[in-house]
Amino acid sequence: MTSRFAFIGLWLRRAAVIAAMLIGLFPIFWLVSTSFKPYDEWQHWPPVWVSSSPTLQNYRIVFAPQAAQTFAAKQKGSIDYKVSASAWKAFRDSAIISVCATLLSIIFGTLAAYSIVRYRTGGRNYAFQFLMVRMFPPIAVVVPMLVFFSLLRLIDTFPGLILAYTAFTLPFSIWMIRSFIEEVPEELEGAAMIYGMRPLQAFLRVTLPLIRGGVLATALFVFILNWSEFLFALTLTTGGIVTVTLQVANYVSASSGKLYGVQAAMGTISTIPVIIFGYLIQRHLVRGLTFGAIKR
Amino acid sequence: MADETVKMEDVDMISRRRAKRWIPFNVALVLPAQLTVMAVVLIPTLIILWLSITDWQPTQGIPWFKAYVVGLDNFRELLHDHRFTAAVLRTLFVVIVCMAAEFVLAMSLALLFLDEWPWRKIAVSAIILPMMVVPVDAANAFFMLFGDRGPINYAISLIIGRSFEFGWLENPNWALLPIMLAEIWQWTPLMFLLILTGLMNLPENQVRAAYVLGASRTKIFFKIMLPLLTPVIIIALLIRGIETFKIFDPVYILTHGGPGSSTETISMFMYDSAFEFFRMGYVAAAGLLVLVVVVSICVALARPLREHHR
Amino acid sequence: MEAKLELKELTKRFGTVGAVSGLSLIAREGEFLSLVGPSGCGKSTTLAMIAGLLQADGGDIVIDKRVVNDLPAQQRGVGLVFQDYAVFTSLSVEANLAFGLEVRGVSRVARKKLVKALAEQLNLTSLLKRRGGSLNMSEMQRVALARVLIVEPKLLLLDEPMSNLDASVRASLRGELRQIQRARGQTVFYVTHDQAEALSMSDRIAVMRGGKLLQIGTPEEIYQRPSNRFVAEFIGDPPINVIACDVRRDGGSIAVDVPGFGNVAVGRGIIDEGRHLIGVRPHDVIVGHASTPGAIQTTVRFIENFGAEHVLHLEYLNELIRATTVPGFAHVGANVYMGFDMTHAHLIEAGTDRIVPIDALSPNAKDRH
Repeated sequence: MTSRFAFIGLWLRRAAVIAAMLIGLFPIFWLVSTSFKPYDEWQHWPPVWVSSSPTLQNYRIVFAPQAAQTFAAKQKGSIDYKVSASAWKAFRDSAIISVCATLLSIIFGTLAAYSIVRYRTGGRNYAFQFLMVRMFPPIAVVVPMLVFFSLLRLIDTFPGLILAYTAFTLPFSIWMIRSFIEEVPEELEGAAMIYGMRPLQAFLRVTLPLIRGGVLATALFVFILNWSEFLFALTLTTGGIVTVTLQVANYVSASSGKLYGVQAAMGTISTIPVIIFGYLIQRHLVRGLTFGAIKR
Repeated sequence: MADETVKMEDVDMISRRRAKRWIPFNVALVLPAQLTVMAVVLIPTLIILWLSITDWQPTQGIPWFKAYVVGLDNFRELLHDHRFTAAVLRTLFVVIVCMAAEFVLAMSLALLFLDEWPWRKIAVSAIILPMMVVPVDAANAFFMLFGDRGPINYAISLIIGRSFEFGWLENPNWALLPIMLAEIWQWTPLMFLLILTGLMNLPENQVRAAYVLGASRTKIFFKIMLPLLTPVIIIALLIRGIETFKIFDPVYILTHGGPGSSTETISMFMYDSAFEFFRMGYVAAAGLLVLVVVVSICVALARPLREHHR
Repeated sequence: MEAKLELKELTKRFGTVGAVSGLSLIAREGEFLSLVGPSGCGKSTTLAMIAGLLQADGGDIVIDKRVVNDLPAQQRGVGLVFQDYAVFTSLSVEANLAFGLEVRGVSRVARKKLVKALAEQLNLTSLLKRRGGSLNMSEMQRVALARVLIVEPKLLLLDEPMSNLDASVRASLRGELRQIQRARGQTVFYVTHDQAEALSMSDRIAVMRGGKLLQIGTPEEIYQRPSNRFVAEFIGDPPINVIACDVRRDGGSIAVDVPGFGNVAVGRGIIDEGRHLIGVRPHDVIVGHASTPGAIQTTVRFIENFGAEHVLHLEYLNELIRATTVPGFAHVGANVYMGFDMTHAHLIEAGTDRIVPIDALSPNAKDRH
């Protein structure tokens, strides 16, 4: 008798899981689907789930505005949206900032983590100050940062944004890499040093290769954070530098409001690298998001 | 065991003595990180401290360091500013609702994943997909979903039998809902992952022992599993709580604080004060207040956590 | 005496591997029965099936005359102590002990009384307020034990309870456990890989290997009359010497010859002529400094020092034969003479590894008495 109830319970449970999966996937599905919809289907009633006449026009507007214009001229009812620059600039800007900020964050973070773990630099609580950085609401820091940056002429520059991004991802770098270093016994470096290696050498040639999976995961994690960042990009730039997160906000026309399809196309493309990287580091996500406090 | 092995500090004492220049080696290693953080955090904090006691606006034409000092006026005004206090309360409301929802949903879902079944891995991957989407794009997706002619309204129309073209984002009473739903949708998977990890790391034999002693599943959950999960839950709530408090992207994209200021959170309030009204001194004071409160709460809460971490 | 636990042809397969095959045995009321065997022999699987944590593929588990195969664990009347004790680390020791009673709806007042009584019995009174996670291993073991004893299970199942403890603690705990068991008349089913432990504590021992039961009997029976080679080799420390021999039939008797020694014994038994094996315990290997009839000369290769006695490893053809002696008897490299006292030796049939019962196995029938 108990087994029959267990069977029903099982079906209920599986149904709940499927429901959760569908809820998780639906908004993304909608985004992707909308990116292929022609203009008249964006706000159609009843809503169009999957376009019956899918188009690449939205993607053209994003990546090749000239081609989009030509297409719109030939195809009646197609939207034509004049954007000064194609999204390639946004991807380029985002890539430059994200890659550089990630590199700096990892390098600085690894050196600091090594120092903290092996030398206990700064005492027991030193590393916690880096956690404080994450507690600061970025908006509170933006105004004085603008002042500070304008002094150094860093507003709307790559170095300025890279600096800001690096600083705000350092807590993750330091704490994540720290937890990886702690898993490698320091006797290994000690053994290498007995053979004549200097301490840092021992770390770089013995420990680092052992944790390179973890360091790579941290790098991808930090990259995701940088790529998805919005607030600093919004406030510390004045139009010269455009990140992918800002570019989406550009697809607004005075007459038609938000250009759903184009924004969906831009959103779909810009979110793809993040999703890919996210799944690559799936094993390490928990460790990253809890600053190394929880490990699988 | 640790007493007998060679300690790092002992071995490199020798090399440190050799290489002793102006800065100890280990300090030099943390300098890049430390300086970066100081530049972006410490110096701005000092600037905030200064600005918060002035009434500086860039439109005044004078440089910021020559701004007119107004002492504690900014703070007094803030505490009487209905818009500010409303923003604070609203943000707290959002934090509490979102965290509660995320926690309950994540916990219920995680409990369904305790056993193995063929497509379990796929299910986990699908469920955590939302947290890997760029937040701005997710917010835009929700903007489209909650449009007056969007799928959400369509679904409701089907249920209630008549056309339902409700403008969620234009309604001061309801606009907060899409924002919170976007936040919950995006971050419940994170809570789910954390709680699931905690559940997987539970000592299985304690659960089995309770089972053999005759405890029901509910009793096992509340008396054995939950206490063992407490550290994980606290970390998850703390981390999500702080992030939710800072909420900005969904608010900006979905409503920009509107209609009016009915969905204005603290971050949105400060953004508008800075970039629409240019009241930098005022914003600095607000920022300082928020900083002090957030940091002290975190320090107070984190202390028992730190001991546990050791 | 009543059979408290009966296993009938119990079987469990993991894929194609037979973890437990056709296991049948009985544990009597109040008996301390040990299940011994090497790692992977199926003893923990058997325990899990009796407890209700694993479903059997075949056979019956009968507790107190009731077939419990389809009953969930809590209805079987078993108490289980895990190898890692599984003390509820987030609860106090008092709460740990009271847990089983609470589940059974015992009133708070009654719970407190029972907990107090049992804590006194097991020396846990000073630990009652401590948190489960703060205890050391031997404290945890006692708490785990008390936790199951308090609900007075029909059958107490113990899974290698001593393997996590220091050797010094084990000796005293063995005695304590046995005392408690006798005082309460508790039927105990004890799984271990440590044969010495089983020998010292049990009323009866069941030896398992490869999922099958090899022999069940009292410690004396298992030690002195093993039924096959594996049991003889597994039980007893230092392990028995297994030496090749030749068996000749001589009219109604058989004669056992060992290469190098010549004839070592005659007797009567049912076994074919040819190459077989004999098992001689190290205590039955006689070592002397002078030559005696039946002894051969050999060299001491090395010595194991066990304090009260030494085990000499003596050269014999390509192997080493273990012999126990008093300390200081010989040094490494010494030339000594070794011979066998065949009174307690075993004849092992080649191929089947069965131990063949032999009547009057001795060099001279007269020496038997």
